[in-house]
Amino acid sequence: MNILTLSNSIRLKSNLKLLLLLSILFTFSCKKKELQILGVPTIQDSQTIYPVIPEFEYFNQDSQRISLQSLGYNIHIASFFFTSCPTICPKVMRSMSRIADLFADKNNISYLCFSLDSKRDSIPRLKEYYDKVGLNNKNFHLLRGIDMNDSKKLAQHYLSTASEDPEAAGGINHSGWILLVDKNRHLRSYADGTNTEDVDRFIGDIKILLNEKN
Amino acid sequence: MKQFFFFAIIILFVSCKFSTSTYKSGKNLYENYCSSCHGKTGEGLGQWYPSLKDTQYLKSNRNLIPLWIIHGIQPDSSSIFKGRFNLVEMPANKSISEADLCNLLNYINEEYWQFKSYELQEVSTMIKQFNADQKH
Ligand code: HEC
Repeated sequence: MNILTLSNSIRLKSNLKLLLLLSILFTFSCKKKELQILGVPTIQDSQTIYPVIPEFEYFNQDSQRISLQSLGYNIHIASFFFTSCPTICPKVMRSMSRIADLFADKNNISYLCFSLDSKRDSIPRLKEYYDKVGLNNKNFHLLRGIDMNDSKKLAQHYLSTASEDPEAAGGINHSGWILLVDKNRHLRSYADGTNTEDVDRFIGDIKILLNEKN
Repeated sequence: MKQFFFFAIIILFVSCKFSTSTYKSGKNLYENYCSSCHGKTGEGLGQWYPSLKDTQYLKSNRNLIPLWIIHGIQPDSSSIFKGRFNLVEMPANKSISEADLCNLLNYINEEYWQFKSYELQEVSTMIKQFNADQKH
């Protein structure tokens, strides 16, 4: 065998391998991914009941009252932040803004960022942040907190944490999750808002939810 | 063959420049302490967190930047380093070592500014000078 035919047969073999790999990939990708409902269910009268995000009402940056009802119980994407946060919030907000830009043509998704700093994040402050960050999307709401007690409870429903902590940079400790909530107020997916690859996967999950019937 | 050597030399040159431990250390520091606000590629976040690419403004403040990184930039009027946007605070890094500071500055400089690079001796002098001025 001369070198040419040898290299040709190697190429053929590796082509076959590639083909095999591709066909495996295809069969897996054909299996449609479905989103589970997240949270710990309770059983009532032999029915499985999943937790839901409770009703709430907060003011947004334009002094509008925002509630699940006012949003028409559409899909929403949520995260927690405060405008003077020195740690992870800028990253999470960058991810929120990237997601909102990607789905800019979809009117049935709202973006809710709950402020954890009711003392400093007044409505005008939220408005300034909204303008200066350049959020510029009418479905994007920065929501004014009431107090830490209320924020803590709300965060728990979103499987997140928030607490005042004088030791923490900025005085507030909180998680950087971004969460996806469906029309039935069920949590369906979440991502680490500081991690670009995880947010990419989450964007895939949003598309799956958008394609769900009913 | 000639071409091969030409490319080899270029690759060597590039890899020396970018894989040195000081570059890596600077990149690491940037990602841990700066990138959340100023972005992975120095793009900032709208006008709330400025991009690091206003080279004209930054060049004229080249010798102040090390001190900004150490002491932070505060919107309140009582602070030593008041910013030009004054929307939100940039945190201080009081315990950063001079060597780390130098690596961080040179990483950012190489990526975004291309000013004269920062020498350890020079940065050390800037800090001593500032501290002496503060005592008066
Ligand atoms: C919590 C967010 C935050 C972090 C983290 C942060 N900065 Fe800043 N930085 C700011 C803000 C806000 C300003 C603008 C302050 C002003 O002018 O009012 C700023 C301004 C600057 C400027 C001047 C930019 C200009 O054009 O005026 C430089 C240079 C800079 N930062 C470098 C750094 C470096 C290097 C680090 C990492 C050690 C860092 N920053 C970490 C928020 C941050």
